[in-house]
Amino acid sequence: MNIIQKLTVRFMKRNRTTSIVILVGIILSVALMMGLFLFSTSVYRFSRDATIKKDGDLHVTVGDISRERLETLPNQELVEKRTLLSLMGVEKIDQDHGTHFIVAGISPEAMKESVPLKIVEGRLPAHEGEAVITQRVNSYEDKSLTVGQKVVIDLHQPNHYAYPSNEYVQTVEDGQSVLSLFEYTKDRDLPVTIVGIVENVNLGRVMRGGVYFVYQTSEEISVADRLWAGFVIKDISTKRLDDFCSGLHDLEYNLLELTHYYPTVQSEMSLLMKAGTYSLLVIVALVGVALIQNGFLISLSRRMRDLSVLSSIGMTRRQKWMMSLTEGLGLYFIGMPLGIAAGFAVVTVLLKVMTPKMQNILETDVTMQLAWDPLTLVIIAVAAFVTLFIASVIPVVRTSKKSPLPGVRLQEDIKIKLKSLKSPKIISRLFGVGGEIAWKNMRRNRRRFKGALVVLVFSMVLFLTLSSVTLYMDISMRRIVLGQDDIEVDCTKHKDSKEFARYEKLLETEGIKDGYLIYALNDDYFYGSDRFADELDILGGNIQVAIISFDSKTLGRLLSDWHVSREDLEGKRAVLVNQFFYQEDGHRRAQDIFDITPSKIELMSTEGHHEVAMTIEVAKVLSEGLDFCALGEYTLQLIVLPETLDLLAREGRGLRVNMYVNAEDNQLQPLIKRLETKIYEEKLHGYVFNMVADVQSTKDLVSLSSMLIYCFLAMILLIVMVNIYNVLSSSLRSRRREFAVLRSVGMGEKEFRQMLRVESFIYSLKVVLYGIPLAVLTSFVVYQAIGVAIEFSFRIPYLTFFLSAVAVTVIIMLIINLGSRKVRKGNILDALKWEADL
Amino acid sequence: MDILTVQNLKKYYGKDETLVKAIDDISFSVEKGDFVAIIGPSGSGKSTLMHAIGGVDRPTDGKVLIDNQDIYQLSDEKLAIFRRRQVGLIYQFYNLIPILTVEENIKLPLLLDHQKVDDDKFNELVRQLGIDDRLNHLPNQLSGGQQQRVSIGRSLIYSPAIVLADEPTGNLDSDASREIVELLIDSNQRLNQTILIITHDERIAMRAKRILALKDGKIVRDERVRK
Ligand SMILES: Nc1ncnc2c1ncn2[C@@H]1O[C@H](COP(=O)(O)OP(=O)(O)OP(=O)(O)O)[C@@H](O)[C@H]1O
Ligand SMILES: [Mg+2]
Repeated sequence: MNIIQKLTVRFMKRNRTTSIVILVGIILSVALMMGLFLFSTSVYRFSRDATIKKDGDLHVTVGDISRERLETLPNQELVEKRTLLSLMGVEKIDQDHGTHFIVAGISPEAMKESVPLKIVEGRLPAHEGEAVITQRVNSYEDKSLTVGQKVVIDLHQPNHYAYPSNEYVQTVEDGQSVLSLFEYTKDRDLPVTIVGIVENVNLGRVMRGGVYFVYQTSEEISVADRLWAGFVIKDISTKRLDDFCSGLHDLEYNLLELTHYYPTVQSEMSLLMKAGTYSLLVIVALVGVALIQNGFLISLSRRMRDLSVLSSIGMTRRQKWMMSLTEGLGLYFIGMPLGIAAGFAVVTVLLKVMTPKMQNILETDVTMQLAWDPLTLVIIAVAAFVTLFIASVIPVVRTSKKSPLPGVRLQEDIKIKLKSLKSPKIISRLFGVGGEIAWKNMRRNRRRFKGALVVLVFSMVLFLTLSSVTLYMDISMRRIVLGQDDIEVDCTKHKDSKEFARYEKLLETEGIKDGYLIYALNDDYFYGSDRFADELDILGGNIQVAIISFDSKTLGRLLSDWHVSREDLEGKRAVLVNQFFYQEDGHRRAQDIFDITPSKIELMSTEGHHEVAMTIEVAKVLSEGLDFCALGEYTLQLIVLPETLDLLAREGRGLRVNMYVNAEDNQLQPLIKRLETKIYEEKLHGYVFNMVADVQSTKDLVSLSSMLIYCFLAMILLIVMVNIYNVLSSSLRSRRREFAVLRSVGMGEKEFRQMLRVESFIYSLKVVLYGIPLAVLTSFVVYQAIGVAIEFSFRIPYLTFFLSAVAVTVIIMLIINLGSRKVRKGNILDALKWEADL
Repeated sequence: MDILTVQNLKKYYGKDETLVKAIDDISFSVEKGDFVAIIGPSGSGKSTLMHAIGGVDRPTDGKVLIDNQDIYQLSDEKLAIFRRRQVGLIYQFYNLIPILTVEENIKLPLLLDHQKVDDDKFNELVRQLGIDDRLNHLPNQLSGGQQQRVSIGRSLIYSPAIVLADEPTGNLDSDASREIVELLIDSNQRLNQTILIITHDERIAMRAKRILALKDGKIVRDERVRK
């Protein structure tokens, strides 16, 4: 060991506390960085894998596209992966209703990933001539196929592939949406063996009904003319998705679908998470620099005198640098592996603990695995190294410029500029002599305090930024949750109200806490006026009118609440809801529609036109909107009897049924299964949507990670406290003699406390003055980042800001009080002897 | 031959009303093997002069030549190396490195220079200083006189061009003081070591070969001591 290393090691041993603080600082910073990084990558990868396993990985599906069109699609460069099914044709089921089942060719590759088929019975097709059917095929009317059965599909070519069970399809021609009839032409007979039954798929509207998946090789599919296509977009974001879809703009609305809204939102969230993670990493690094540099400054200031002596007997600046560097490197090589190991260990344990909960949230059996890539590890190692390098060298660069003279002359303080030592009158007037001395001390020890100040400001900013982030997350979550209901059952279209009774039975399903059915015209009507609130959705001077009714129980309850009898509503008469809801900043807000409510509503069938299609009399006006459901957003609502809907329905358009239910506690998943089974068994039409799942899982993710972040933060705060204590008490220690002198000339306990109070106060004021504006700034930056995905107006959590300012003051007071105990109580004579200082 | 030449040396502190001329245009030279005592009232600029000569503190103006080397022409880095090899400093408060043992403290200038230590020379030196049985102690385990002997050892180990001692006995009782002075005189006589010593003690000054008296930053007396 050469003399430099020897000196370094012994200095470090002497300043053991400081060295340990620095080391802990390094370990903690590195562990925090590692933890943050490992955790976010692992969670992201886990939720991605879970989603892919459940729904496939596709972002966009196109229900029906020709080979030629497919190959000439613009923006192909945005596509990462493409999955194709050949549309072989349809099996006609019911000519009147235009119902058909799709017959699609699927390759083994597609089955593996993008189109996950979940077996209910039997197996997946693996050979030519084999096929599986979805449960819906099997549940339809009297069709009951069994596994192993050979069937001959009566294959037809439809003019449109569309949402099944519509006799009309909606198409877009010259920008106008028009309705046209389904037409079929007989193709051929296709013999297949049913080898399995799979769960209903959800691959866009076309592939949502009954489907025969017939085995085909990739080669066969690659020459098919009519295709169903699914795309994975590279680095998906809303913008890229839009860009890609712009090339498919002219497609019928139900053919182009963003199948998995979730992956998109999720990828956006993950982008946010990434941005968040990286900014946290930067913050941790900065806090780390401040912390470690401060530690080095303290340890350096404690050996200032020795360094002066060393310098006077010929130690060069380079050698001094080498000493600090050796110290830094030593600490790095101890701290770095420990930090990395700690990060790995903590996250591994965390993932183990979290796995069951996360699996529950995402309804998956995928386990959480530690995910990391070596590049980031290297980045963190390098970042930590640079941090340490800067932190260890900067103090020595700063001090090595100074003359060694004061050190060898036993002067503690290096340079005191006279003019900076004049204290403002206000201080002495407010706080007396104690205050004046305190102020002078603050000025003199500026540099030493600066480190602690920076650390304090940083931790405050970190804390406040995180509380803003939590607030924004909460707002974003509320934006996503539109209704208050857990499950929606979309029961598709019906001819008339006679079928409603069958659906109302679904409400009796076990596990439903409450629920209702909404009946509506499967049709749009408009109402024109020139005095509408801006928040209403106004289309060509018209607002949309929703004509709705409810299941008999709900309707009965509502009518009696409103003191309206059924007779009052007979014929074309309705209850008008004179209030609509809109979303602002994640809150649902209500606003009146009419100042003076009209006695009848003249409806137009097309927006912007002025021909009155029908007139509805207003039997009753409700001044408040219906608050129990997600209804009435941006529209005018008319509530009628179910029978009235039959009167109002236009030829061929029929009615819609939607069911919204809330599950009893812990009954969500069973209830979904039960509803699906019931729909299947009762041969009803209906698709069950879990409205909680995505939102809940994201919410849980956010709350989980913010909880973790707060834990991290608590750790960081702890080490910051230790550090601040270190700084303040070391500065107080170096002023011990001065205090002793002050006391020996008669400064009492009271003045002394006063002095410390003033110091604490000025100090806290500084922290708050820097911290709050900075925190507002960083909050704004975060807001900007989140605002890309979700729109809301800027705000900050005022209360937290206020409380943290108070907390900072209290903490500083406590630390100064604690650190000065020895000085206050200690023996004056001891401190007066100069040896005591060294 | 002059080992040290000081030419028009000035060191001012502050400016305007607070201007202090700690050294005010001092010139003199010292021959090799000389033993010079610098005396003067408190605040007369003795310590300032010594630090300027020792290359520890840059003067406001003027030149210091040691062994014909204009030391303030050197860069900070070179000056430090020069100090390490050519200047031995002894302070009133010893200024030892508390974390190094006696042996390491003494060898420090050599170690900083990555030099091999001549064991014979080292053993001879510590024997002379009477601290050969204290080599593995830390400074705070020694008496004041012993500590000062260690710092003398440190100043002599490299056989520097000049040894500068700033009130080396200021903190010691008369017995210890005498021993320290004897050690310095001994090294001056035996090794022909050039020594400049600052002192308030008339008796010590009289042991020197030459006395320089300072007042208000100026040399007011420069005479040879007749023995
Ligand atoms: N850093 C400084 N800033 C301003 N003035 C200084 C500084 N250092 C020394 N002085 C002034 O320079 C003058 C000479 O100081 P110096 O320490 O050389 O005196 P000295 O002769 O060594 O005194 P003593 O015998 O008391 O040690 C004094 O008037 C002192 O006030
Ligand atoms: Mg002096």
